[in-house]
Amino acid sequence: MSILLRRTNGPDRAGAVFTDQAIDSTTVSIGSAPDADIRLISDSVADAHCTIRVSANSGKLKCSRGNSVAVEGNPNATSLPLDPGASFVLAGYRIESITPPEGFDLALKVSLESITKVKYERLYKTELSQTKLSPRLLTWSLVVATILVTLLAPLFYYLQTDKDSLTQSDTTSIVGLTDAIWSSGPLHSAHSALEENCTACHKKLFQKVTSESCIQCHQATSDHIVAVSENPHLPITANDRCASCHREHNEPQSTLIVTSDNLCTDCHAEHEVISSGKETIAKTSGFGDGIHPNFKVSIAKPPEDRFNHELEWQVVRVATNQAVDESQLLFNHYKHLDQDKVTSDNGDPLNCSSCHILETSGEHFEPLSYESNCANSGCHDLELDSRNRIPHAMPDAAIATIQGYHLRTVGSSVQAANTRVDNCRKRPGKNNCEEKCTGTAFECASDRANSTIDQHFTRTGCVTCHEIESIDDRDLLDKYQIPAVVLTENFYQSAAFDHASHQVLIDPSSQKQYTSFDACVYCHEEATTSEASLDLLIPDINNCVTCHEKSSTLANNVPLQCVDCHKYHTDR
Amino acid sequence: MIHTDILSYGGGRYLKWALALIAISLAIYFTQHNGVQPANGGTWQGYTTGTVGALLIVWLSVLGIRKRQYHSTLGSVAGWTSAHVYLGAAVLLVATLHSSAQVGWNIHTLAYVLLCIVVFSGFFGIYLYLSLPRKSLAARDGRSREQLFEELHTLNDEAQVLAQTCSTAISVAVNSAVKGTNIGGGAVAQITGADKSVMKLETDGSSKQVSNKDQQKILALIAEQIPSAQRESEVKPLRELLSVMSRRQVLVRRIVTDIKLQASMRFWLFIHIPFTMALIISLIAHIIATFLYW
Repeated sequence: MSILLRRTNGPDRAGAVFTDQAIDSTTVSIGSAPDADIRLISDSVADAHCTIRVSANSGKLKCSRGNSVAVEGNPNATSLPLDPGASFVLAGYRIESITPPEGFDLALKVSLESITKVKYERLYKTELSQTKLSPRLLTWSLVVATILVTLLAPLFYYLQTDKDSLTQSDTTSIVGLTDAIWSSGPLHSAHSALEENCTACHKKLFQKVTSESCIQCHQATSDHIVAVSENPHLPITANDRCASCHREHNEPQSTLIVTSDNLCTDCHAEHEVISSGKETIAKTSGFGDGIHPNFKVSIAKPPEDRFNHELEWQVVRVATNQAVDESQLLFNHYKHLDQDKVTSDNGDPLNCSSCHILETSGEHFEPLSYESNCANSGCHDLELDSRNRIPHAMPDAAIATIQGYHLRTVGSSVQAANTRVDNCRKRPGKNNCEEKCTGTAFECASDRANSTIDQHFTRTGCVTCHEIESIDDRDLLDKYQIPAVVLTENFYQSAAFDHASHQVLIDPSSQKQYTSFDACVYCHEEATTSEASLDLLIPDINNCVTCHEKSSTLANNVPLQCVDCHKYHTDR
Repeated sequence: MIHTDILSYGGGRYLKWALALIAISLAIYFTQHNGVQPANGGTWQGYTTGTVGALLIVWLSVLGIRKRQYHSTLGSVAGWTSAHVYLGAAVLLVATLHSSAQVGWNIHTLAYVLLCIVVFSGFFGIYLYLSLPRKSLAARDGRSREQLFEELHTLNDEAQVLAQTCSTAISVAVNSAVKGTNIGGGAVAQITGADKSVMKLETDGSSKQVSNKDQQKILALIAEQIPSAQRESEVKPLRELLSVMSRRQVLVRRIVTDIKLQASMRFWLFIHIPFTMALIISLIAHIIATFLYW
């Protein structure tokens, strides 16, 4: 159908300018929508207000639900036959069906019925509120998403977790969201395997982590005060919860291990306490001169009968400045560090590390032994010749070995005439001693054996390092008694010391730097002068406070926290 | 001016309040380095600044309710807004001190991020309120939006009447340019001021739709016709048409710029308010989760 639309922007009067538009359609839409065939801008016009269905030379107006137009005698008409001459008014516009020119099936003339103020801005979308951008929709979307992500998804995961398991590999999550997003921060590296398994520690919602969770893995850790339950007067709650002290989720500023002195001084500054060994620990408020108790060494003490190897040695605690080393080994530090007397194979003087090899822990040294430290040096081996060696630490076996050696080597009186008698200790660069024997081979062998035995046990061999008691009325095999030797390996058992970090020292008073041997002697200063084995070369507190004085403000002074040396927990 | 009233309300009373709040929060924060644990939201200091921050966020959100209670006697809206601006800025620092800058992929940091979005969108809003009204007034040349549209409509009519006296091609082009002028539109178009105006161009009996961005094409088309016109009677309407369409171009620019500025002034609220609601939910989740896994 061909329809002619003839429009003017003003009233239909003389001089009005009309514009014509031809459309091919069976309907003509009227409304305020931009795509309406006849667009009328007014608050009273709906987007699709009404429609004209076109038939040959006429049309029929029908309004959409709730809308109407004004016709003669009816201000609220909802339908109207549009024969030529018929008209209706909508929003101040008169739309009239006129006789269609040739070639058109319907002609409509649109003009202003009356002059009304038109809000032309309504032709355009000029406000954000007219667009699809809806703050309400955005708000609800964000709110729902936030509830889902922050509460529902992790709660869904939590409800499925196996609270008794340390792994949650089979637990289903919503888009990968687990209860780990409730975490307030990363865990200490020691606990990193539990990063995605909150219920390993957090067994119940709204309940603080209990010590039972920790004990799942840390069964071997003891309380600091084992008798706290039996001693209600203790002024602390030391055994309350592990998490009272061990604060997680603060990495990388780790506080899993409390380093504050308060951990100790809350009690130890105010009270003398009795340790599990029934020893009284004096008050202390930290590490420094006058505020920390003097050191005590834990040192091996021989039994009264030192020669009875069956008896057990006791470890006793003695003030360091009063202690003596009763290891029963005779050793002269001064002589071994004197370059004129002892050197290594290449002629260099010995130093501390020639004998004291630091363990990889950096705290203690490898245990000293005759075989590794004395015999291997070539200085104190017990060789009779390249195939015969006196056994160490067994006097009776040593005597038997010497006797057997001489019996085998002398052999006969003929050989004995010029047989070498090893009555001199072999020393590098010195000729072997020779002496004549005129008796039978056995007599010569016995004489030479007795001479060698006497030399080792009374002059230059065993007696160099060991105190030897000779009992004349005993059989030769049992004649020489040597006390057992016990070298204390850990003098400060209730404190840790890192030798490795002390290999370079700077004296805060002089700002002088000490390294290697000098660093050793800085603390173990008597090592270069000590000639007696009883000298205990372990430093006392006076030595430590030169660099670790709590109240010092000197450069390179390094104040110590209690836990730098002492452990709070002990292993079960 | 409005912005002066908000920022200097009561002689900067709420600026002083905000500075005092910041000073107290800093003092509390720096008492927590005791060696037992680092500064974090779980110390008593952290709980204190966290509680203050949470209550402050809730109070700041109430501004939206107060603004709509025209009969309320609980302070003036200007006072509330001034407090909202200063204390809203302060809450960012309070929350930072509460968190001790411990961040991670968790809901606690999500709450902090949402807070940052809300506060910084608020800062952007203040900037807009300070600068846009003046720019908008300049864009509209002191007239109202309604006056601009009425003038545009008048020019549209004038142009279409003049175009009828010109060639068919010009008439079709001017009519289509008027109808195809793009003003406003969707949210993106309003905020960016994107111009998608089109017009019909008749060549060799067929017509095609071409871009008429900034009304440049229709002006060029009319201008091209003037030198080739044979008679003064042809030139005159073309000149008048060019004049009308040029005035119309300036007017369209003014309207588009004004729409763009007004849309910007509304758009920051489209961020500020929805994210404030998300922040409140996130804040509730943050508090609950803290005690869920205590």
